[in-house]
Amino acid sequence: MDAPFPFGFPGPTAFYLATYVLTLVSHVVFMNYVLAGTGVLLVRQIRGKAGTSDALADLLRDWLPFALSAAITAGIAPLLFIQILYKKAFYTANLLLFHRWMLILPALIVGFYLLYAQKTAFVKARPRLKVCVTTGALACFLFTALSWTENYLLARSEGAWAPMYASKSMIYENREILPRMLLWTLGALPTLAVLLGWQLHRRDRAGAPVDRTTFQRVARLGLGGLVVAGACAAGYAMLVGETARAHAVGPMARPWFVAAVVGVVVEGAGFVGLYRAEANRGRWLGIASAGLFFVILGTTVVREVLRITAVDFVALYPEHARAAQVSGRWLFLGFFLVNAVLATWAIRTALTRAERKAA
Amino acid sequence: MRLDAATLPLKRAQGTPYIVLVTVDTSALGVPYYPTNDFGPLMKGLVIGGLGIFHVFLAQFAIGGGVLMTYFEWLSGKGKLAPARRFTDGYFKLLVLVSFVVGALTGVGMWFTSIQTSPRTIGLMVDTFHWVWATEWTFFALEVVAGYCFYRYGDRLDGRSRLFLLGLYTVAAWFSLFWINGILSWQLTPGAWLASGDLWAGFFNPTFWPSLFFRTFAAMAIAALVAALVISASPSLERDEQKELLHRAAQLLAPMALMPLLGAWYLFAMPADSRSWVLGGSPAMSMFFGVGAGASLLVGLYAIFGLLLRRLYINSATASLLIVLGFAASAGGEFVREGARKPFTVRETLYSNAMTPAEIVTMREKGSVTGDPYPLRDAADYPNDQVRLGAKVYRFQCSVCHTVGGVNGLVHLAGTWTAEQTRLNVAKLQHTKPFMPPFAGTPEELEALVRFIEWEAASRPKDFSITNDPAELAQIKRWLDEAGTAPGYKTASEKKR
Ligand code: HEM
Repeated sequence: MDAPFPFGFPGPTAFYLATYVLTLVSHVVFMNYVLAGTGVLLVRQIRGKAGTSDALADLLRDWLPFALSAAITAGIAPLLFIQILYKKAFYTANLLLFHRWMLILPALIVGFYLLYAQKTAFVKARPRLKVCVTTGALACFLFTALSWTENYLLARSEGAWAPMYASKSMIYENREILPRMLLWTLGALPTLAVLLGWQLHRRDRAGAPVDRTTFQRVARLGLGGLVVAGACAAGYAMLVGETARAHAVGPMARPWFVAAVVGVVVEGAGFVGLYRAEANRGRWLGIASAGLFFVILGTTVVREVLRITAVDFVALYPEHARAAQVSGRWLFLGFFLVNAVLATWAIRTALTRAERKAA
Repeated sequence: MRLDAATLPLKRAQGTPYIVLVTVDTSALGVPYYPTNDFGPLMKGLVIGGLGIFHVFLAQFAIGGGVLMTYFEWLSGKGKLAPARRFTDGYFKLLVLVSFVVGALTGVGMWFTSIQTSPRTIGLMVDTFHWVWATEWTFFALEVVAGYCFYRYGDRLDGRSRLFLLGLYTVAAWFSLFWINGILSWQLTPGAWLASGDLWAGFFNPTFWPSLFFRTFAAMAIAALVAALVISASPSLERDEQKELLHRAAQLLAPMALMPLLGAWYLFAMPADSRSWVLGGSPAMSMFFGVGAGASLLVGLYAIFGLLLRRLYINSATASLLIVLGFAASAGGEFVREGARKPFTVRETLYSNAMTPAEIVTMREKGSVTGDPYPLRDAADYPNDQVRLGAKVYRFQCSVCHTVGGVNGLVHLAGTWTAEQTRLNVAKLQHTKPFMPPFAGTPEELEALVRFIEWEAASRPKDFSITNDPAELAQIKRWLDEAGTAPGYKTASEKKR
């Protein structure tokens, strides 16, 4: 296991690992929008003055329900592949957390409806209620993030399973959970900034001018996010112990760790450019997006390497090999491409036809 | 190294009666032990069945809703249904709010609940069909994209674009059903997959087509009923417009006339023993079947005679009542589907209590809970080691379908039997009721289970004696040997032989 991820594993294992990581990346993008977006919306609602319009808050209110739907849809694919990679561990963690785990579902349903409630005239007209509604939604999403974090850490720790079962506790106590969740939440800010930047840019180009300060606000959000998430990552690294730290920069993870660090620098440069730009914002957003891609991909791989090295991964190879025997992957690939084309076509139809008509 | 049996060879040699999912490793049985949760007085099957009904109803609404709106949009484009657009925009918002949110999340919920009730079953399903599932996911994603495009931009689009988006949404939604239907029907009738291990033989199994058509028509019916409610409750529509829309919506109920035929096709494609549970062999299953069939019949009769032939107007109250009946029909159908698989979760491959036929043979020798790493919760509450062992056996072998004193409780079922009767009935479990799997442990484990049931039936006394009469254990062994390890009904391969 000295080769860079995903090399150095048997073919089927490498294949499922790569598929898992790529699908998880798309979940992370949308999940970040939801997590950070709801938080930013709340802050803007608390700080906003009545009667003034707020382009960022309007945008978030408008798009958060869709982003949540996308986060859930994108979450289903890694949910499938994790069951092939770490079946027993994943199931066991689910079972041990029991009702606590299942609570994610009502929490997400409530969070979803609260996001829709934000759009109603009734809530819009009542500033205090608005804050309460957003607080409720944020609580639901933080709870969901906490649960995934807890599940991930518990699944990795086989030694904790039997004692936790005997204790009847549905809460896994581990000092890494809260800092890790904080890291996820703060790390979501730069992703949100990039996505918001694109949305505003598109709006600007479609003939609804967005002022420079709004773009600067987004750039500050991204830069601030990089700084606080970086500080949190450093703190978290202190907490996880020497072995995990060594694996994070060990041969399997090193190229990805470096990619993530380079990504942070590129993303930061993109945000600085966006902050200063009077025009050509698309270029700076493109740079920030490229950086973001490497940050998310790099950190997702490092995260996986830490799990691979924490469990008896070699023992799982035969399971991956057996799963790889079943047919259907070409079917998947074919329909993936066809449906991606159709989805793009649908989006194009909606955007071009609707705008032409409105204009 | 322990191998998870649910992931082991999915192909089997031609003619082998049971799929061999397990290679026995040196350390233990090769059985993956999971922590078992206690759902209190609720049976696990009820939990998954309850959520399943809810999810299926919503998912079918999403599919049928797409068919209905595409049809309306097409009529509107042809100038045949003037108020269609106004209705479609409102109806789609309802669909997004209900189906995209609760429907999608109950879908994830089904997955999580399946893990809670039988991790090994869902593991086997994922191993066998993960690419089919991944394919289904691409359609689901397309459904969400097309749906949201329509939701956000539909009212600003021209007719052709609207029809395109709605059509795309509908096709994607229906294909989600297509793929999932193959996986779910495989559980009951894996067909030629059992012999060849061929994925497509399992996917296009004997109940695939009747089930697909049945579900498609059910989806159209549910969407039409919800449409009836929305139309009749819509204050912005004139009475004439409501009538016109209602009549068009009711056309989607017409295929219900074929449901009895499809139902019969499905029943005849089922294994004979499963059919016999539904048709009287198991009172609970027959009752659910009756509820499902009766409710469908009532909806179908009203739809065909009242709405289609006599063009009756339908008010919100009647529409709501019909939706409730539609829900009851779905509920009956889902319970039958879940229950008819017994004693298996995947026919002739994995028993309801997540053991493979091959493992039962081994466990008869080595014990079923010997390797279970999970301790009993509240172990100190039990009076002695024998009852503790019995509690573990109950947890591992029985608790997926039974509770101790709640729904389908062992105390109610066996609490009044004599000790000998209990020993015999458990030893020959698959013959006591063929929808139960064979007992999968040693005579000592069986005796411990009997003592556990007796202790519970006696209201958990503090002092409780240990039984260890060698003659009784020998008698249990004889009964176990007589019962064998094959299921209680005759399998297809046995019949052939
Ligand atoms: C707003 C809703 C959600 C939030 C905020 C959220 C948050 C998170 C977070 C923070 C993680 C990383 C956990 C860690 O590494 O410590 C994660 C992982 C994951 N999430 Fe989500 N999630 C959401 C919804 C969902 C849903 C609905 C699904 C499934 C359909 C899902 C599927 C996954 C999967 C499969 C992983 C990887 C787990 C692992 O590798 O062990 N997520 N999510």
